[in-house]
Amino acid sequence: MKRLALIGLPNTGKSTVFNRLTGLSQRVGNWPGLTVELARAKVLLGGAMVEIVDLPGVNDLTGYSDDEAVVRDVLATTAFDGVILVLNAAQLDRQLPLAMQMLATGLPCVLVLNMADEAKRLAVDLDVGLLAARLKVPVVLVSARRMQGWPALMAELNRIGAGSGEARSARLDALPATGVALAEARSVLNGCWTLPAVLPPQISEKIDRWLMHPWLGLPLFVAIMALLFNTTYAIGTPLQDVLGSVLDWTRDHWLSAAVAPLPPILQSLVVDGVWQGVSTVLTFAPILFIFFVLMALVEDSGYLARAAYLTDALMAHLGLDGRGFVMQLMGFGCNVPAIMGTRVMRDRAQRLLSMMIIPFSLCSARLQVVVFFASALFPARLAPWVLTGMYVLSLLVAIGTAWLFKHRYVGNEAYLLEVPPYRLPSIRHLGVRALGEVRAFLELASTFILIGVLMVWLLTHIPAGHDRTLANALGDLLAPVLDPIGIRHELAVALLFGFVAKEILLGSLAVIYAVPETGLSSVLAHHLSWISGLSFLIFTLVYVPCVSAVSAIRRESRSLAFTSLTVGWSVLLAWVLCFLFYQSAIRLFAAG
Amino acid sequence: MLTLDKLSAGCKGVVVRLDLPEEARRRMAAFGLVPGCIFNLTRIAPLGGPMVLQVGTTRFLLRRSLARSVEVEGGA
Repeated sequence: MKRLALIGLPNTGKSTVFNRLTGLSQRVGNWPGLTVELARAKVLLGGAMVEIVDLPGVNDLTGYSDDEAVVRDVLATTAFDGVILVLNAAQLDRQLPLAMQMLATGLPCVLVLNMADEAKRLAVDLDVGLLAARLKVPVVLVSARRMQGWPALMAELNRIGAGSGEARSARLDALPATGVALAEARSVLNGCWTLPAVLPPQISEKIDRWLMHPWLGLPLFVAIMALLFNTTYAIGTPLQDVLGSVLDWTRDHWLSAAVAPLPPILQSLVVDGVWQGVSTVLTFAPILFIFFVLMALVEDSGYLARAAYLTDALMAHLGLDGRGFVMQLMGFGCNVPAIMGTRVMRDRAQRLLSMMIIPFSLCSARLQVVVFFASALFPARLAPWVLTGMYVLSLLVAIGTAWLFKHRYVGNEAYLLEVPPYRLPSIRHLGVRALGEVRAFLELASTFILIGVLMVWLLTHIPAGHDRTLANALGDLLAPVLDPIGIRHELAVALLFGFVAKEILLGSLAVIYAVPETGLSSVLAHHLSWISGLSFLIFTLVYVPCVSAVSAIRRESRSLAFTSLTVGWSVLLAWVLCFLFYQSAIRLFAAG
Repeated sequence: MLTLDKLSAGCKGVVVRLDLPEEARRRMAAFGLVPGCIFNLTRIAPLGGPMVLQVGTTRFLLRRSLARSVEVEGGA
């Protein structure tokens, strides 16, 4: 099968071109021989099936960033029939050098000049025919968003599909260095690409007068983020409830009957273990979808770069990427998409540091637990302060962790970020992106999460002596660790359940105390002092959010060592914080 | 010697020299920031935040710590 590589600079609309060419047929998967995931799709071009591979956005083929190394490795080790090179037609002065390097690889190339509409608005003077003649490759001017110029692009791609050339791997020994490529590009552009002496005023600048305003910018940013979260939950939560009821109905009316012939222990394994875990994870899907649509909107509209501008002063002090702030905020909704969202960062060290602190964002699932405990153990006038305190603690722990680890994960890249003009992405593009993210999450769910759920089920169902399970035994075994932080042994089991998902933590507490969930409140007040209740909450906030978040970290970092460090650090920190809190609280309020 | 971080918002100028290691220079060049290029310093974030530069039609932000290594001329 013929194979084409899609290459371009970041922010050139490369992924829009890819989505236009391939639609929903694209799949993200491991690239053989490299620890990297690439999106691929098979499309019919010129009567033959051709695989199009979307390579990461790069500025320069000779650079040393992760993405640049990936592109070089893939091009050098895989035979391609051609390259689709996407550049921004309005920025050829800085983007054409990549074309000069691409031509030097010897691969047949189609040059796609995207953003034709923007170039026109900027009054860019462009002679496509002359450029093609000088470069000796086909050049097409398109607007992927508006599908302008598409027939010409398809004609070129069909010609490659129908052609009989031999696929080959790229030659990387003759790549012109950055300076040389720049000089070559300049002489090519001389006379066929010119910017007007004075650029016409752009709408983006007018909008930025407000959105990047020295002191109005931040409040507007907070308002936009608040709107984003509220929209996510306003649309997502009802959908989640509906899906939850459908899944419960399926369990009650179909699954229970289907497993009835099995021995009780196996029934429980299927219903309480596998089904419970999988359905909990599945109910995330609608919220994730809405969330990713809105996040893709924030990123592709160009607002993410503005958010980075507004928050960079703080983030730079913590050794973080300016865009990390948005992800951190996103984490207050759900950590999983926030962790996956760190993909927008180029620098690996910065990504890792962000992934390390996102789990400390008090997500909506943990919020449930906090609200429940606060109202069960505290008088109504104090409960809101407990909640506020937990949010403050969440931020402090994230900031403290970033500050502690910033020297370990130093970004080694000059931090520059394009501030693109505002663009309205198509709904289809947002949908395709969000579906891809949800699919990636569910694929995660099918393996890693299932294992986690099964482990907890085994712990809580394998008998260990009279009327006890392995989990009880584990609780007692952990007594020397749990007693100094005031967490009762039976709650260790709840913390174990909380590792699967904080959503099932309250349910598991009800099981532990053998009361219906409605009666849990009074039982908790009876069994727990406010000090040990608060200690339990601090632990719940700080230790591993859930198995989904851990597997997202594992997937995105591609490092078991880093994942273990994140998990280990959060558990250790949770214990230390609870120890400090509990020990000082019982001394101060000895009566408690 | 005038460096980019000394300029105020609204200034235009020409880059003279980049006092940076090879890889950082390559990264700057990817945004069009090379010796001889004309830039427009569009805005500067408060509290030591980043600056927004325009070179050609490309607008991008860079941190002031990095701007310290960019020697410039002009600044009107």
